Parts: sequence; C-alpha cells; structure tokens
Amino acid sequence: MANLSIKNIRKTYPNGVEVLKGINLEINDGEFLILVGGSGCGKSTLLNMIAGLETVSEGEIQIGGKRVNDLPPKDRDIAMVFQSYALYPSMSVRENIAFGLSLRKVPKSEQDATIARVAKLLQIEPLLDRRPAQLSGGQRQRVAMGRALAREPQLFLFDEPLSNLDAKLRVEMRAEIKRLHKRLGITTVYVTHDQVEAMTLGDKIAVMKEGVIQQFGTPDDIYSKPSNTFVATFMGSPPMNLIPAVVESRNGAGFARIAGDENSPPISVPLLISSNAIAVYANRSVLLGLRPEQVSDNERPGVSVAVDLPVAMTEVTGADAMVFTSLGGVEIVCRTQPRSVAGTDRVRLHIDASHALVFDESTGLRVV
Amino acid sequence: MTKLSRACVYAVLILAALYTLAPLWVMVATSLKSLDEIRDGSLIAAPLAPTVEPWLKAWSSACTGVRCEGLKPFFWNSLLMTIPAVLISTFIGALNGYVLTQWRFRGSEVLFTALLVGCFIPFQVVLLPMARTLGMVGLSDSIFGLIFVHVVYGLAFTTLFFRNYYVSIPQDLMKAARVDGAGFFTIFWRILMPISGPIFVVCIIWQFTQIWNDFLFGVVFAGADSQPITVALNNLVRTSTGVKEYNVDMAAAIIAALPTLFVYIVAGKYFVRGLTAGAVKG
Repeated sequence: MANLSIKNIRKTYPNGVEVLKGINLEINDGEFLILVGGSGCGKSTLLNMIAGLETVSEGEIQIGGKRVNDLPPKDRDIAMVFQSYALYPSMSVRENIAFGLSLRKVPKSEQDATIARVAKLLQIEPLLDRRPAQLSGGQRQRVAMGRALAREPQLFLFDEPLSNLDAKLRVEMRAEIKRLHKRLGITTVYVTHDQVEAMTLGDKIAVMKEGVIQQFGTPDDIYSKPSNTFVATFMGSPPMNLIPAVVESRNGAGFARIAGDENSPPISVPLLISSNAIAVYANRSVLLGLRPEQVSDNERPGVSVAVDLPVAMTEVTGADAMVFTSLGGVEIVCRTQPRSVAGTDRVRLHIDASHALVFDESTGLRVV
Repeated sequence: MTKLSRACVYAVLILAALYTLAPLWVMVATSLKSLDEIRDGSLIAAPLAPTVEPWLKAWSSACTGVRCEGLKPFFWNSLLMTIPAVLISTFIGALNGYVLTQWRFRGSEVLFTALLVGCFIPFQVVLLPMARTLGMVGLSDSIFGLIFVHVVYGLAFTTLFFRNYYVSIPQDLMKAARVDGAGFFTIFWRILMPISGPIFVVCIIWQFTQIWNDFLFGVVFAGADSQPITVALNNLVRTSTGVKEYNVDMAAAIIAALPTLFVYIVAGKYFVRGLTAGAVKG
C-alpha cells in the first residue's frame, strides 16, 4: 500500500520532442487514479515512467514516499496490466502467474499458494493448465490481472486494459476491476482514452492533452466544473455544446445572448453568475457550455427558455433520442425523449441555463 | 473444374516432375552400374546387374588428386565445418534479431540496414580481404578459419531471418517481463527461445545448405587437410587414371548431396511452416 507522488515530471526524447511538460500529481494510499486523454497526449508515457520502463528526463516520482526514479521496474513493487495482455505465449496460465514469483525466488510452496489464491479470486482455476492461445480475450485479461495480483504490489498500473475487448465484456470487466479495487484497496493508476471508464472507475481523474494536465480532480469536478473547453468537450457523451454568446447585464442580472441564424431566432438565456463576472464580461463574446441534457424537451417554468429548432438528424439510443440541430451558428446535440422527436422536422426545446458554464472565448478557460 | 482441365493440370505437373527427377535418376542408375554396362547400355536404362562397388570406391578409395582415400575424410571435414558454423551463426543471428527488435537503441535501424547490405555482397568480393584477415589472426588453411568465414558471411542472413520474426512480437511482452524482473538474457531464453522454433528450422536449413554446398570459400581458404567435400568432389571428378569412372563420379556426387537432402526431408515441412509463420499471438 502506498501513495504516489509525481513532481514536475518532464520527458524529452533524444530528437528533442517534449512529450510531458511538467506533470504534478498526488494520490493517497488506496486511491484509483485515471489518466485520460486522446492519442499522443503522453498518458501511456507517464505510466511507463511510473513503472520504470521509460527514463525520467526531469522531476521526481515517489512511491510510498520513496524516490524511485533510478530503480528498475522489478524493484518498484508495482504490477502492470497491458492492453495486449502480454501473456508469455509459451507458458501455461500457471507458469505465467508463477514467472515473476520464481524470478524473485519465492519458495515453491508459497508460489502454489499464491497461484491458488489469485486463481480463486479471479475464477480462473479451470484455466490454469491452458496456454494463452487457448483462451478468449476476456479470459486472457483475467489471467493478466491474476499475474499482476500475484505480486501483491504496492501500486497497480493498467495500460488501457479493456480496449481490446468487445463492448459487453468491457462493461463486465470494468465492474470486475472496480470490485477488485474496492476489495483489495491497492493504489491504482489506470490509463484509458475512454471517458466512460474514466468516470466510472476513478477516484481522481487527470485529463491530459499534449503532455500537460488540463485538469486533475474528482469525476464530479471534472464533469460539472471542467476547467477549460477541452475538458468540457472531452468528458461526457455526447460532448458538451459550446455556443458563441455575448454576456449582457440587465439590472445586475446576467444573460447570455445567442445570435440567431437562418434557422433559429436570437434568444437570451439567464445566467447564474456572480456580479463580478458580469461586470468583467459584460458585452464580451464568450462560449456558453451546455450539456446535451440542458437543451431538452423538459420544460422548467421560470428557468428554461423555449426555442424552436430544425432537426438535422436524430439518434435514438433507447431511453433517449439525441437531436442534432444548430443554434447560434454551431451544431449542437440535445438529449430528448424519443417520442418528442418522432417524425418531426422542427422541435421545441427548452434551454435550462441554470447550470450552464461560461468559457472565455480566447483562452478557453472557464469563467463561471 | 472440368475433367479435361484437371487432366491437363496433372499432365503438366507430371511432366515437370519427370523433367526435374530425370537427372537424379540418371545419377542413381549410373552409380549402380559397372563401367562395362555404362559403355554398352543406354543412359537412362535401369542397371541390369546393380553393384555398390562404385559407392564403396567413392567413399573410401577413389583418388582426389594424389590422395586415394575417397570422400570419407572430406565428408567429416564438411561436417566439422558446417555444424559449428550453422549453430554459431544461427545463435548470433537470434541474439541480433532480439536486440534489433526489442532493445532498440540509437542507430539500430542504420545498423540493420548495414547488415542487410551484407546479403548482397558477392562471395568473390571478400576473398582477398578475408584471406588477409585470416592470415593476420592465424586461421589460414584450417577448419576454424572456414567456420569463421561462414559465420561472418552468414550473419547478415540469420540476423535478417530472426529480426523479421521477432519484429512481430509486441513490445508489451518485453515490458511485462521486465516488470516481472526478467533481465536481458532471461527474456531471451525463457520467453523468446520457446517460441522461436519455426524460425530456427528455417535458419538452420538455410545455413546448412549454404555452408555445406559452398565451394568457393572451401577451395580458397581450406588447407590440404581441411578441404570440404565440395572441393574433394571436384578433385575426384577431375582426377582420372586413364579411364573416366562415371559410376564413381555419380556415387560421389550423390554422397556429397545426401546431408542437405536429409535435412530437407526431415525438416522440410517446418521450413514452409516457418517461412509463413508470422505474428505470435497470445
């Protein structure tokens, strides 16, 4: 069990490319940290550096309060699960799990006990004598987790472990990982590009882009108070709508005026923002951040503002229908009930801006 | 497919097979005939009174220049040269392939390209510099010198084989092994070697055929006592004491070709399998 502390980490490759530009993260013992971001944001590089598989150009990594920068992977008391499972093809499941133990000269009887324990925990007892090639994707993933658990590590590292599984299995394994973490309480770092995994698994999420952490916080923080437009649109599915608007001050109350286009009339929605912010941003262009569920068929008298919009396309997902339309000159997505949009080419939607976010148009940072 | 077209296919295949096998048949038939029968009979006729006399003579008493001990001593020379040369070049090739794919370093691609060039250098080009080198390190005129030359010359090919086989092994496997605490050689022995069977077979067949059949290096770098069988066969065929003994020549040629034939028959199916085997999944 250990906390993990990452201080001002930088990674520069010999060809001069800087992939990590000063990363600071701190998680407590037993916490589940998610590193999330698009391809090439440096999340896997950071994980490899925590594991000791890549060198640290600058900064310090501490596991359990101990500097590990110069320790090889085997001395860091970590275990890692890989996207491609990385099971040793010539060894049986049993041998795969025992490999690390035997290299550390764990006595045979202890090895057998450990194998029995993790096999029971992950329900892979019937598979112990099979080769990796004889296993399905989900079984391989379980074995890979078993191999990692056998180490009894201080720190668990996952590198996109579910990306190679089909959708149904992915959901099952996600729940399984969450259960295991609840039960064992091992500090975990988990890399993913899937924001649903990030939201459901993490105690803390670090959203990364181009080697910089955009925001580090709890899933709720990340979702409801994204620090900039990148985080706002990256987390959440469908993504948050960003609508150009102008802040107006009327008798001390703030409004966002959205310009009309050929399909929609200009409208004003009330904003719940501080009088300071109103004073600073009055008559300035901003981006109004509205989640799809904040532009819906759900009318809240006195709060929401109604608008008629043309339907460009709808996607019915079962419980919801996603309506693609345009407002203020940009494409937006709205979440409605399927029956509200069945067979119509215009729909009446209600904008509930009571939890709307406002972003600075030039810097992309959240104002309110 | 219609019956007619199927018949045509078989006809072509059989013709091709006959065309390929005819020389072998002539060799085998001639090697079992006495000289009298060869003079009187037809080239492709089966031996009327088969005799192993020519084979025995080719093996143990035919003259290769001034020595008249048959091919036997040279056969052993060839084995003594080929087996170590094949094993050493294959093993180093495997290590090279492992390093070039799994432990990439600055300039590893350049190094690999440079090694590849080695595949295209004709034997004749390296004869003189190699002779100088062997002289300087004191390996001239010996089996060890031949082994050295064949190892050096084979490395380009064996490295290429193993590099192309190992390049499909995911990097994650190496990372997992390193996290488990395995070092450079542990990973090589315990993880890569057990899955390298097919490419070892390909490499060994290739190297065995190349080295066993080599004539040029043998004739240039071997001493009188270390000549390989290919050189001895040439001497045997060119040495005559009045009468040209075609039956002995043919038997000697077959003896010289037997080991490679044997290797192909034993490992041939793995050869094809190894050439087509690609990614290691699992």
